[in-house]
Amino acid sequence: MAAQVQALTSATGLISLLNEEERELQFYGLSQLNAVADRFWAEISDSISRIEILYEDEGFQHRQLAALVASKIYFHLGEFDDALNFALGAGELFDLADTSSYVQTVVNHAIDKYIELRSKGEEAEAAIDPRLETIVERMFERCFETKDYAQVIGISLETRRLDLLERALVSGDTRSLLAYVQNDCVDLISSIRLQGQVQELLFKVHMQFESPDYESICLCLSKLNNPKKTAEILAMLVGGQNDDKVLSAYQIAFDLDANATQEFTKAVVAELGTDDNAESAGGPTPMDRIKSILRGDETLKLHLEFLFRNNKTDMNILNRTCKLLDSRMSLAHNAMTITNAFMHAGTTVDNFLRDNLEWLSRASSWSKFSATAALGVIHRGQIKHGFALLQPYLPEDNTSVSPFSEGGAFFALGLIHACHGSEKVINYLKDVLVSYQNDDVEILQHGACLGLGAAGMGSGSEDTAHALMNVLYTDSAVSGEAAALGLGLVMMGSSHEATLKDMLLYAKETLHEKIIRSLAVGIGLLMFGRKQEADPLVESLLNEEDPLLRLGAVHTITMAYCGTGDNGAIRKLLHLAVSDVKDDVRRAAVTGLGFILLRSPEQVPRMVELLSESFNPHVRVGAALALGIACSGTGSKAAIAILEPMLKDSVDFVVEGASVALAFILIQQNETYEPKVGEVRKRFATIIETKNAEGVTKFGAAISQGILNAGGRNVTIGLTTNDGQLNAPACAGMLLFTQFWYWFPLAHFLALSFRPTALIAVNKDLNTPNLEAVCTSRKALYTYPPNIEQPVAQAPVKIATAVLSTTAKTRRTTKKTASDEPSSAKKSDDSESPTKDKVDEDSMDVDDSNTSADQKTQKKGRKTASDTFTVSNITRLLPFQEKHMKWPAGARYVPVKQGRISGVLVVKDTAPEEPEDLIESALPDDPIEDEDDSADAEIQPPGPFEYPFDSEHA
Amino acid sequence: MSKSNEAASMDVELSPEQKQAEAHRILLEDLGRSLKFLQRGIAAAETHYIYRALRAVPSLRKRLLPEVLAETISACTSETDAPNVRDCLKGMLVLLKQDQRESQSTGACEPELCLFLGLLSLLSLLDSGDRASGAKLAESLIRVTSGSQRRTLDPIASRVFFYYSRIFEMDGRLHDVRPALLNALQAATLAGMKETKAMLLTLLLRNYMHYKHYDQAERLTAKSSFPSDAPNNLLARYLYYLGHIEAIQLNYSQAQLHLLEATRKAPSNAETAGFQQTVHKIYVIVELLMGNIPERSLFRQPVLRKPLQPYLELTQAVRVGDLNKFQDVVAKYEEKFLKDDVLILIQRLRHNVIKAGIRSISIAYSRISLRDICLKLHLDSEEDAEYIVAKAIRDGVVDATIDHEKGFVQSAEIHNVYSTNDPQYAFDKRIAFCLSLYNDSVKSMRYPGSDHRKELAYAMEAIKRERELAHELENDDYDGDSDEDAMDEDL
Repeated sequence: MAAQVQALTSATGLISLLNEEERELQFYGLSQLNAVADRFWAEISDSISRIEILYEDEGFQHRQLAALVASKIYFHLGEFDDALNFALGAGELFDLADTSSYVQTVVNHAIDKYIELRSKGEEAEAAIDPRLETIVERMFERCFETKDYAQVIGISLETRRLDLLERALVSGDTRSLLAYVQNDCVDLISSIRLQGQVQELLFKVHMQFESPDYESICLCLSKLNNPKKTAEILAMLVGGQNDDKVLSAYQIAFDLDANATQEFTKAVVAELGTDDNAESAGGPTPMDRIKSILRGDETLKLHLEFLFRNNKTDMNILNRTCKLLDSRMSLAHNAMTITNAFMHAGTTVDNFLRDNLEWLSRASSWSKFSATAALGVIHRGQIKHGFALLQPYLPEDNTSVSPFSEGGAFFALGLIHACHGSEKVINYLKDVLVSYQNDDVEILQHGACLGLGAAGMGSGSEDTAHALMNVLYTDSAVSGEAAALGLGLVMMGSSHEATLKDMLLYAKETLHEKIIRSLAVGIGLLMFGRKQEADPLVESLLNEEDPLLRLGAVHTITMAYCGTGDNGAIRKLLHLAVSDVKDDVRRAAVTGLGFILLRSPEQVPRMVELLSESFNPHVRVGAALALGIACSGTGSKAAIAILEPMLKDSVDFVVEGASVALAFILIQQNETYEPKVGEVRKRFATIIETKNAEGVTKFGAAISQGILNAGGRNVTIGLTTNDGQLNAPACAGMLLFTQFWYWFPLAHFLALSFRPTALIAVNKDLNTPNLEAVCTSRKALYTYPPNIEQPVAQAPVKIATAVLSTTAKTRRTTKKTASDEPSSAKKSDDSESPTKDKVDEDSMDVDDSNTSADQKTQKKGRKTASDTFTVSNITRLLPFQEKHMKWPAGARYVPVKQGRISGVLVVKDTAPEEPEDLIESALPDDPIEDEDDSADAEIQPPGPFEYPFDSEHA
Repeated sequence: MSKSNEAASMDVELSPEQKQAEAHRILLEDLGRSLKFLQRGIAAAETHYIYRALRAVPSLRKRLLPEVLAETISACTSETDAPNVRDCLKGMLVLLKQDQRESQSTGACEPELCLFLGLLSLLSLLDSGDRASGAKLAESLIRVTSGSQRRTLDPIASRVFFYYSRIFEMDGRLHDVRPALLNALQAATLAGMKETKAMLLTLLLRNYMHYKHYDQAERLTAKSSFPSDAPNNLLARYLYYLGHIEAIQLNYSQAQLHLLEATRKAPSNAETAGFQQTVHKIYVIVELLMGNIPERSLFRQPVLRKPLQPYLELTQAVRVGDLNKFQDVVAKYEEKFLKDDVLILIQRLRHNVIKAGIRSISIAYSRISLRDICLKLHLDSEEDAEYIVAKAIRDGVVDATIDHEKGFVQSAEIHNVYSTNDPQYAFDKRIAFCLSLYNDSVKSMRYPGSDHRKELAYAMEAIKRERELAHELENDDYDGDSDEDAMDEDL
């Protein structure tokens, strides 16, 4: 047979057999053709129609063989669709186990086709050829046999075969597979509905365990927005009198507070019931604790404690910047306000304001608004004393005297309660929206709307939305702008249809550019994380002629696909970035890339490298911000390499953007870890010092210094939570921060993106015990950067060094005459002097090598000496330090949750009978009322604020 | 020779051993450089590095030494190689009759390196005339190519296939390689290996034509697409085969187009003289078959003059339409034509001698009766004349219509082409061609990522240096010593 095939030079004879009458001959011809199809496909392809006729002939016994031959021929012709169709017709004859390229290609094609059909929706699903399904299922079976579960999971997600997904989960190593799906797959699913179904399935599989992993379950439930089940689980855990379970319930509550939306946690608290009766009897019950955790009280308290305790703000930087910037300019004043706010964000330390009353008093109009709002950033999280702190600035008895500082105070109130808005605050701010009737109501409303947005973020409250809507409809540019942003924040991620419709309509109706622009941002926020659901909206907005609406499309893509790395979204943004006619749209589009790729920062430098060299400065600044946002806190070398040259850009705002981006990237790093930090810090300082630098450049450098040292050097930019989940408020805060381009006070929203980087462990009473974790790395990598030195009379020294050329000349000539003498005496001197030089150089070289050798030995010594060090409770723990951390074996306290070491951790006491060594709270204004007053008294001094009131009215 | 003499000669001239050692060393270095290019290409997944390595092959081939090759091969071998690569490398050493040496390589040998070394070994075997070993080696190399689908493999694999086919052709066993080539073609198509695909297509066409399976070859060309961005050399070859097939299948106008393009695509230098000659031979015949007379200048080209002598005589015979002379020429050069594989086409020319006559008639007469044609061309009957004229019309040799009833041939009016849109179309075609050429060259240009930064830095430095220079010129009245002092103070 083989020899026969070898001898064949043409398949014509075999083909002619097909035209015979006899079935036998036809069969023989087909089987021979099947064998030689690889060699004579070109020839056979001419008579493919004949083979197809044979296949369609119902009476022909071997029509499957005909199909197989036809399939092979089509494969060789590159017609994979036809090849697949005929392969389906070949039934059993199509051997899946074959490893030939023919079978592999056809099977690949079958799977692609299947995925395509399944993702088209119900109708296409119904139309799927059952034979196709069989092939795909046969492939699945083979994967099950070879235990390639990860592959099954991937393809089953793509083909939306949840039954197979479940089977894969159950038959493999369920726990690790569940974690794999939860962490790596779910967020990549672009359809929200399917995502929900998968979450439900995960929940179901989780519940099948003997001892379910309640943490993952509650994460699932929070994604499913099912507060009832969550409450049940929490109640069950707490109710069992089992200490371990109670502890894990605490941990879950902490995680929910960090990961879930405000709307969800509030609903859970409501579900848990209001039986507070037990409180009076002997301290809070575990249930009360859970509620207080879910309300965010505990986390905020712990974070405050941490930030206050470890505050390492370098006041010299602030003082120096303050001296160098001309505070009479509102731009410089704003820069200083924002810098100070960032540096002290969440620390409650407002010394700087108190020490610089004179500077403060120079604030006028909107600068005053900013300055007051900054208090909100500084005191962020002090929800207990929010009103008390701001008392001096809030208007009394509904009569406004100083609208700018009062408006700022409303905003500050919102920021203090950001994401944790209590009824009281929300209602107070809502009242503000309607209860003032004077001329300056716009300013008050502006502050209140922003405050409402911050406090009610993601609460989805329709009442609040309604109140904001009413403000929007007054069609005042100033209050409308803030109302639009507030709407977006309150309804964030809800894709609430009615609100969306109203916003869109109004955006097309109003003539105020400010309002349209804010609505664009608001719509984006509304669609946060909605992925494919936002596509129709994006398409319609992209076709608008008004660039501000196209800007809305860009924001919508950015927010809807935030952190997904979705290729379609990236493609759209890149297209807009290079093709739109409006600079604002292009800038926002490039910046959006940073949001979309914030989970895979390593991709961004390569993607924006060319854009960063664009001729268009707006694109350049967008590229800088994209790098900053995506690579924030990573210290990515590739990103720094792109940004560094941009600091010397000829356009002022590009320098500003590059400064901010560098600050994002290098936040919290010291020179040992990333040597570039020192240079960048110096560079910022020199920009501020340079007398004739552009105002915007200086502004950028100043706030960059603020970001670099943010939160007393104890926070990072955390667009994801400690668990790696997307942090919605942080992303919103970052987006609003980028709007400082248009409106400086919005820069304060960056406070939402600050995440304290701390090791905080709490015991069963939610107190912080003294404990230590071990870090197996060099300590020098993670220390705080040193404070800058007070510049003591540096300038005069510099002046002294300047030597006039004439003096130098005279000096030289005198020297020359001196040196002439020996040369006239001895000719050989000429040769001597170079050698001298050489010796000098040599000796210097030696010195150098000596010192470097010294350094080396020092380094080595350090390495061996302090390869490990301990980190105690409530101290700074940098994100890149985490991978070197471990709990010491046999320690008294053991964390309830494995695999994480940062953020709030609940620990179990293995020796409960021994007395606990607790860390006392260091916060000056802890619950006691009278102390609170003193704190107030301390804060009050910014009294000079009131001076300008008169001038304002005058 | 005295010792001092020897020493003196050493100074000026190296001894043969030393020369050899020197050559040895240089070869080893050159090999190493090529391998480095390959590795860079693999690391960056960029084929242009691979091409740089391959560019060195001709010069390496001239001075290949089996022992040096073996040394390099041994150096590349390691324990971690993929099984097919390891077998192939071992096979290479055996076939080169060299021993395995100590290996210093740590990482696995990439298939690209293996194939490159294999290619050189193959050339070395080919040059030493050891075709049996060469065939074995080539087969093992083919196995390596099928193991990987990387783009970087493409250029090397295509060359390996070429020599694979070549060895078998020299052995006269060309049909043995056909299944392997067909399989490889399929794999290359699926993996998007363009150069290999192009190479395999030309090899297959050659293979079919070798056995005169013209219709198989025609079907292959009809059913497969030649990669659009294949190297020009391959494209020229492909076009030649295409033209040849079409000529045989009576599709002269297409054949003429393709052959003409083949001559234009092929680089015109001494290396490609053989190709130019072969293509022109067929081209001349196709031109004649179409009733055109090739330019006299064609036969004057130095590369073509001698080999095309018989064809010149043939052309002259056709031009005058002298059947007797034509027969004489064919008889005289029959051997040669047979060798060139064009006898079958030349035999068809007999008709064309007649057609040449028809052509001149159609130009001369706007209307002529078939009978007159018959008489003028010494044909047997009017029917014959009618058939021949009809065929000539179909082939586009003449633009005329036959009036069958009245028995005459009406030549179409020769109208002014410049009054039609044709010139515009022609211009459009040329412009499109130029534009696509331009686009292709822009696309194929490469700018290494950050090179311009280096240049910028260099430019900055240059500016700085210039400034310093200017500064020094200003202060040129000071000597170096005092200058240094002044600078010290400045600092």
